[in-house]
Amino acid sequence: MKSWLPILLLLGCCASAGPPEHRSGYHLLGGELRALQDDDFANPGMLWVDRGERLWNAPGGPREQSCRDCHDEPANLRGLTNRLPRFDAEADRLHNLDTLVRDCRQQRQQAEVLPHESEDLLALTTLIAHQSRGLPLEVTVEGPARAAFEQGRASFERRRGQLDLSCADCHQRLEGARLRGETISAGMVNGFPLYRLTWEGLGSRQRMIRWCNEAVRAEPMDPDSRRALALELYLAWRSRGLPLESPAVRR
Amino acid sequence: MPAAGTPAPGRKRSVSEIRQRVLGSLVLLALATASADDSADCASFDLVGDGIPQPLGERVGNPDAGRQVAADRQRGDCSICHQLPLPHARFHGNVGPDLSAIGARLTPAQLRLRVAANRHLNPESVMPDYGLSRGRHDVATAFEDRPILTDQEIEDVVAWLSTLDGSGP
Ligand code: HEC
Ligand code: HEC
Repeated sequence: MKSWLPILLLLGCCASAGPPEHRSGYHLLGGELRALQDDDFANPGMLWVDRGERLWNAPGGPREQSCRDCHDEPANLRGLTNRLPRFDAEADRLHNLDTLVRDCRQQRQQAEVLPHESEDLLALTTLIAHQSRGLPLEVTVEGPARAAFEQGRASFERRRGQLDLSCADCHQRLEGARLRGETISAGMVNGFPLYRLTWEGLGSRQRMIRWCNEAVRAEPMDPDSRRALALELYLAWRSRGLPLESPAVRR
Repeated sequence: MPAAGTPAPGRKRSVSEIRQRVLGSLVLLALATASADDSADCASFDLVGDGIPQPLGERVGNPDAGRQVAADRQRGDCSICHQLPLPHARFHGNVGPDLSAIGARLTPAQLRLRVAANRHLNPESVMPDYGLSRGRHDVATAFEDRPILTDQEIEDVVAWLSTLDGSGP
């Protein structure tokens, strides 16, 4: 079967590059940034995890309850973030990490709601996401989640904004090309919440969506809206199988 | 500046390929609704072959102004995708072809079509139509019903691109 060898090698080479939906943005980082992400003592995102731990134990609301009073160790939430967003059939809506934390705080703890992208919300969400580090992303897109999934896919592929570009134009067709100094990744979401050097701070998946929409001069999406959550579901599905890295580090 | 402009695979179409598709056809591209400012003030582009021979809005292009427009991140920002002789742009993208000598390869009419309405040649292209605003979705309010560049800015860019013969900085 010697004559097959070149073909097998060719296939092998393509396979190792993998389908676009299976390459974490981590692989585009230089050695220094990888080292920064890999070292918990140097990773700037870990500051939010520490802050999250303090908040986890802080009593709040009329009954002075802390997250710990109901959930005990944060580690109990291992396996949550890698399955988000998930469809809540009773409420007929998708939940992501932000809506779960915000709703729990408002409805059960009855404390004031944490604003999107606020340091306190990011501290809690990063703490929770961090518990699932290493677990593969696996969202459910069948059953009641199907319609949202299709909506998210359509949104990903639809050109938008004054520049009239879609998410797919950049993160599928142009993956690996250089946009000025930036190499375009496959647009995976396994690192979030993550630390971006250009932000000099942490951000959620929805902040990234907002950033990319701004780049093409598109109308921002409300991060609680059905379409924003549907798009996030599709992004999480594209990232399926990748290990959760939060808090990842990106340029 | 080292040459960095390798076209992304499958992105580049040869001029002859484009010619084959549109040569000889005279097409009128109806433009988006004219807006209050002077940006969308022409009602149509007259396509001849794969170019627009008439300057947009009968403007006269200025190459120096065109270099500014191409470099300006809020306006052309062309080097995000193309290698261009812009000494100030430290990084160039490689999404589109190297344009360092494009003036030697394309006529002003061809350049005008590619800057103003490139997707007429290839609807799938990622290069935006800088002179059109029609049919876009979810445009941010500040940019609604406005093309990315005004007629004058497009003429300026075309005038600058026409001067590029590969001898630039
Ligand atoms: C004009 C090109 C462009 C478009 C269009 C675009 N993006 Fe991006 N996106 C980028 C660049 C550049 C980055 C930063 C480099 C990187 O991580 O890919 C980025 C980063 C991302 C990331 C982070 C990847 C990581 O590893 O952390 C996600 C997720 C993402 N984009 C999703 C989207 C979504 C969703 C859309 C559509 C709403 C979109 N992008 C549209 C250029 C684009
Ligand atoms: C988002 C990426 C992108 C941006 C931004 C962009 N281009 Fe392009 N451009 C391309 C691609 C890709 C091509 C190759 C042909 C095609 O896909 O239509 C191209 C082709 C061209 C061509 C034809 C080149 C040839 O060899 O035939 C010209 C001229 C051109 N671009 C000029 C410009 C100018 C001027 C600007 C800024 C005002 C600009 N481009 C902005 C991606 C881009």
